[in-house]
Amino acid sequence: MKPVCENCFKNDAALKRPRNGMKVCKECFFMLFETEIHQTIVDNQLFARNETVAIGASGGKDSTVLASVLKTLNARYDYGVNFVLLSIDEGIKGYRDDSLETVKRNQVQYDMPLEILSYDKLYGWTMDKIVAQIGKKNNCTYCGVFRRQALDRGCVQNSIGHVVTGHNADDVAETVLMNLMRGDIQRLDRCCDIVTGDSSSRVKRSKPLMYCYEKEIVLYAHYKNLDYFSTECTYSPEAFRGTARALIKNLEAVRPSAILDVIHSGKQFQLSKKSKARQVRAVQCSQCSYISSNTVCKACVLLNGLNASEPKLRLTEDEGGAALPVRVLEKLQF
Amino acid sequence: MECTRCGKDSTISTRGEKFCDDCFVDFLNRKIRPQLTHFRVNGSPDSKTVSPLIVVPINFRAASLALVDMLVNMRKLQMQKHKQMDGFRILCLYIGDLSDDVSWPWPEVDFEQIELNVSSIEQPIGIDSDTLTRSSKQDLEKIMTRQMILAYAKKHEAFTAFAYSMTKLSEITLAETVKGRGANLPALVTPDLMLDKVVYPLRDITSSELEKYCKITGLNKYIIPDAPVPSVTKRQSIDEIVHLYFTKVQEEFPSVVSTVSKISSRLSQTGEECGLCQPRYIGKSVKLCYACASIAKETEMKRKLDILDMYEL
Ligand SMILES: [Zn+2]
Ligand SMILES: [Zn+2]
Ligand SMILES: [Zn+2]
Ligand SMILES: [Zn+2]
Repeated sequence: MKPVCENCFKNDAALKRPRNGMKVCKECFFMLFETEIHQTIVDNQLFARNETVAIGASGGKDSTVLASVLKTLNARYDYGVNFVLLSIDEGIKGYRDDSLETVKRNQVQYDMPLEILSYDKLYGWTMDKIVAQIGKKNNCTYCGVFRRQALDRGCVQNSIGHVVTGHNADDVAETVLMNLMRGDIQRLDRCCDIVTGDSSSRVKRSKPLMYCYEKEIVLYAHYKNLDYFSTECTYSPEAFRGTARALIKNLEAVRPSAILDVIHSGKQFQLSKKSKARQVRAVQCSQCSYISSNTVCKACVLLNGLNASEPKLRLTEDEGGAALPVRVLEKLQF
Repeated sequence: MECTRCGKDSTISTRGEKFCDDCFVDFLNRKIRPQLTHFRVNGSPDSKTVSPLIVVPINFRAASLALVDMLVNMRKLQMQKHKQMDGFRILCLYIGDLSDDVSWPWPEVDFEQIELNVSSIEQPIGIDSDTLTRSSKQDLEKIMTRQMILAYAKKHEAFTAFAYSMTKLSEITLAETVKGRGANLPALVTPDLMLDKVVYPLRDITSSELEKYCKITGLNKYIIPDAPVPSVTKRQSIDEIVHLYFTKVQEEFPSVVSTVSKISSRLSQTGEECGLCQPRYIGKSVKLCYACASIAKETEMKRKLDILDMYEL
């Protein structure tokens, strides 16, 4: 005999919820999962009626589930929000090409307008070109810094004041641990805020899925047959982040609530008065006017570095800017 | 290679320096002094005041044995220099059962043992340790041990010197974060000597340095080894997983340990009221924090299941 759903006590249970072990049927799982996100939205007053909100859409499972759930909730609870899909084209062959196709299909499936912003247009560099230049070692730093700004810049270009991203509970917990290990106290202070960006920044950011377990997002996408692109970024993440992720998985195995427990701790972390006094005030980047803690923002610093060393690369760059062949060529020259 | 300090053959390499055995032991003995400036010799030889008492909790691992050794050395030195006057007195405390074949290296140092009494705190709070997961049970026992030590020290109007190394403090930081007790970190990891009467003299020494210390000084033979960690991850406790993780990460990224051990000093004391895990001694309170409430929930869930079993539901 199959166990009965512990929520409706009518249907057979189809799955065990990773966050609390509750056995539920498919319909109850959808309802519980969606209602929890709705609760997060209401508790934190994330949206205002008639607001236009961009969904940072990568074509991956998180942002696809986010778009799908927001569309459902917007209709069910009449938020009155206009959602727009905002996609970034980092210029990674084989990764972004396919995922952008996914986003284009999502545009039709969810009936939302789509804006695509390319690194090439925004910065004059694709990720493939950057990797060809600097190798695979720190490329996630570049990608992260550029992506962060790209969403903001895209919003400003389209006069949108709010962007939501698909960061889930696992991501947030991982970030807490990473910031702890790096001793990055400023970020530790903020990384569990559901809304980031103060009055001085032009674009508000929020994370409606920050209490959703990654495993449940995968289950939701699976049972709803959502159309998403499931390949990991071809450029592997930093080693350190990898170990933090592995740690979270181990902890979750022993104690499923561990992910939420880390977030609970993260929310308690507050800078001491002394550390706060040392905190750097935000200013506008002198090159691109993006809000930054330095006179030149991180993206511009990285760009300046790339542009300064570019001529050397031009000698070996072949058609299409494919990353690996260039690296091979560089080595052969020695 | 030669010892950077005295030129003899070096045996140890740490912190980018080479040490011989003697210089290494001397180096570590000096490392605890910045934490203990409060316990300098104070007063004249004929004054009647007694020096403050320091309770040193012992668990017979390398860190606590090394700490007692260092404190004994420090006190000896004080008495040599100041006509038999000391800056503090030492009282060692062991919580739990102790087998008869355990020997105590310092006959001149007072040693007391008390049983761990988990049930005294369980009932008012509604936790029954028999219903808990292995991880929560371990957590509860550690919390109780600390509370008993602090209560004992309070009764004796003493300070407490815990043998937390830099490595241990960073593990505590990570583990308590994982358990949802981030709010406790400043009070737990960077206590205030005068306010809390608690001090961590080993906070600038790593656990592997302490292990070497015990090897050189012959304290090794008094060490009781750690209980084995289950090999299956699912059976491990949060503390054990974090410990294993740190052991691995510090090989690859050695600076992580000191970074993490220092982070609490830059956080503000927020604190969640809790009758169980409060790092400071607070006496009785039935309020539970987020993390301890979830331990209590395990007992509640188990009782519900037992009732269902009883009625064969
Ligand atoms: Zn159901
Ligand atoms: Zn800039
Ligand atoms: Zn020497
Ligand atoms: Zn507590």
